[in-house]
Amino acid sequence: MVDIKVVSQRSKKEIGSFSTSLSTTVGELKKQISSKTKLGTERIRLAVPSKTSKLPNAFEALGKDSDLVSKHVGSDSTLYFKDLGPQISWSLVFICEYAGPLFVYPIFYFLSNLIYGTESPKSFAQKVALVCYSLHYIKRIYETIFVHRFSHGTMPIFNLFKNCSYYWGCTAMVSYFVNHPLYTEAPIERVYLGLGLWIIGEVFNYICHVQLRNLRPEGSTERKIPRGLLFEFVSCPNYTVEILSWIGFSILTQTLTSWIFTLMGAAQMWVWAVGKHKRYRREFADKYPKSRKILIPFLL
Amino acid sequence: MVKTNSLITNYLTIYNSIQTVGWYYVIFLMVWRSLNLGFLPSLQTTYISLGSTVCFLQLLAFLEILHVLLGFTKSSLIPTLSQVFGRNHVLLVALAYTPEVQQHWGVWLMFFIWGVSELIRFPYYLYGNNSPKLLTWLRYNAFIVLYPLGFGAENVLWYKMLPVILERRIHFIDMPNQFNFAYNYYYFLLVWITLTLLVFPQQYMYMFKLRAKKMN
Repeated sequence: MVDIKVVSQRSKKEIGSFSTSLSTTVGELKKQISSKTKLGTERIRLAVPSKTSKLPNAFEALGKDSDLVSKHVGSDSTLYFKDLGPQISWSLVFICEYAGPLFVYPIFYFLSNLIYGTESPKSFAQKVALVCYSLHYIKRIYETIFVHRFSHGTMPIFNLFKNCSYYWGCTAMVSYFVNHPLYTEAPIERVYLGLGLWIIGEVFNYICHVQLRNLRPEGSTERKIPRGLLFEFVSCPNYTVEILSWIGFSILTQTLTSWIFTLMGAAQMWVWAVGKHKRYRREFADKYPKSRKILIPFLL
Repeated sequence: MVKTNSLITNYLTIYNSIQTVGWYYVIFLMVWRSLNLGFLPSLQTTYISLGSTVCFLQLLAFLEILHVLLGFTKSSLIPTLSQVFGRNHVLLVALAYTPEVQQHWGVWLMFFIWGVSELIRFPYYLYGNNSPKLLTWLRYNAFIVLYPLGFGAENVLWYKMLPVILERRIHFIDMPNQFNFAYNYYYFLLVWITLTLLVFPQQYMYMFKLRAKKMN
């Protein structure tokens, strides 16, 4: 048996002392803390002072529920506690943020009179854009429900508002200009080029998501090295092809705000990809393929 | 952290001196012109006679952002950014394109307030730690009057410029174009002005807090 002291990371005040056996998992300890603090286990974060970071006061969260507490706790038997605030499930956030675009985009296409004050016949590119934009988000909702297996169940509730306003707002920003009565269509070859890139991007994006799903057995949060197809070239090909698909959409619509949306998305995905790449390398060390890049095959 | 390097100190002395002399010239000419032409007639020609000088001094003020970024001065970045961009916005993006408003008395008031506040700020920097008591006192008290007056003058000008900007569609981007993009400077200004009006009381209070800290 060990006595584990749990201390608030922010105030350094002691939350309590918990007597556990050497085989207790982080998850079980969280349940004990939960019954004492009356906070749900999903909003409790336990951490130990970082061994790798050079920054003072850097902590590493204990994420894997299967790990033994005794493996992490140092000589002082102390774990650092943080309340993550009210939580919401990833699936719910994803569905809300993707359902918005499905409603917002068509408003500009179908309610032209209300928004622009005039009605105008829609060009080929505008029709293609409506289909592409809607299909993308239908696909995302389908994947959220039937394909993705999330490693963390929840995220802070504030993310719901942040993510929704980003996706809904960007959709309005893109759709307003694509469906404008004074819209200028790109030359037809470019519309087809963009559509082609979009299709390739979406198909491979789906393939990547299925590959990631099959990596993780049902009901587990286990992590393995992804292999096969595009994963042989980069750590996050799902982002690579998603960026490709948005570049395709921007080419086919020839719209500045779509390029801005693509650029912001790419920047965010780059940050995520760097984080994931580093995590893979840390977790699998020498076993992780050295030649594998982060996001752009052979380059970055 | 402020670097102490004689080259930087000398450079800052030159910069502060140019600004001091420049604004001294602006204020001197404003007084001189009102004595010669009479106060009211001098108001209308303020922009014609002093506009280019004030534009030059304000453009030069972009260096102050660089000074903060390079650690030459210990001013905070956000207030410096908002002052430099705010003033250049009114002056170079809006007023320079609306000759209809350039004769308004608001221009005189705005230039005068800017001049007086810079003739406190830059000499104060030049004196370093040996600033005369009166100058130090002005440095931490003059804003009580100058800040609302300057803000008021700017907003009087916005009020006059807005209809002109809408009517002549100044800085608008109209569709159709190759980028399928449109931009309405008038709407941007409506949002921008509303925001500055909302933030003003907070800013003013914040300056009082700073003053209390400095004056103990």
